[in-house]
Amino acid sequence: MESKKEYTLFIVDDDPMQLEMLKDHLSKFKNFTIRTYATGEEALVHLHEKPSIIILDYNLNSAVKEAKNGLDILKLIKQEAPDTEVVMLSGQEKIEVAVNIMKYGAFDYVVKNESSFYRAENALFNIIRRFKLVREAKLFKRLAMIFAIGFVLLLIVIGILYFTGHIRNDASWV
Amino acid sequence: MSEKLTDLAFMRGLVNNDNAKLAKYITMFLKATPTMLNTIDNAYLVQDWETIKVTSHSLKPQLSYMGIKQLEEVIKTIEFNAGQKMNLDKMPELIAKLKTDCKTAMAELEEDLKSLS
Repeated sequence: MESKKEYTLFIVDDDPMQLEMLKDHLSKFKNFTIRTYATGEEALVHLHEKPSIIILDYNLNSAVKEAKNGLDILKLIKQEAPDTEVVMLSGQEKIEVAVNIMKYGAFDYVVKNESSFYRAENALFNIIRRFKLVREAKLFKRLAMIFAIGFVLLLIVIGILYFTGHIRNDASWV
Repeated sequence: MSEKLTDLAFMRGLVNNDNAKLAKYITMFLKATPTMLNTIDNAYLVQDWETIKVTSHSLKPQLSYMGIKQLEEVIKTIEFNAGQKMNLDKMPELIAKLKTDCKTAMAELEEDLKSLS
């Protein structure tokens, strides 16, 4: 039986070999459930599975000519699942492509070459670190809120006790 | 003896010398590459530059993973020329070079595959 894993990772690439290599390489992350898709449209259909991270290829139309490109899919992901982090993968080394992708909310941009597997892995580490920081910040905020409410309640109780005469306005101890 | 076109050093490192995985990727390459070369060939016959651009773009990282350094510039030039629709008179020569070297590379990889099994 498959144990419950902490994160769901989608890998979207129209190149079956790249998809398989990336999936194998990233399967070292034992707390990830990995799903692979050949087009962005297929991945969007499964967005209800709430993937934490999506590794998305920029060019996705080599097999399906009318398939949307990675940038269009990125925009749709960010509309429907803004908390999902996207790492864009591309064979293009143009700086304007990278800038545009980051502008639309991608976490990172990885150029497809021999180092892309390690860079994608590194991006996952960074995203997980960010998730942990966000979780800790939320926990801290909740604790601070509980403390503040407790403090206000304490002041109210003291006020009630004071005004009902249960606490004497006695400064003799000064 | 002539030097090999392919170099599996990167792949071996990536798979941590796992021969089963290496064989799986080589098999995928051997299956996909002839189809892609065919697509480029047929697209050239009808001057379909968009298909040539898209297919050469897909083939580019795969050639790199198999360590076929000799074709890096060739495939980049084919993709660029097709995308920009420029230097199209050079395309037959470039595509012929791509096909010849891929054929040699695939023969080498077939041998590597045999030694892995």
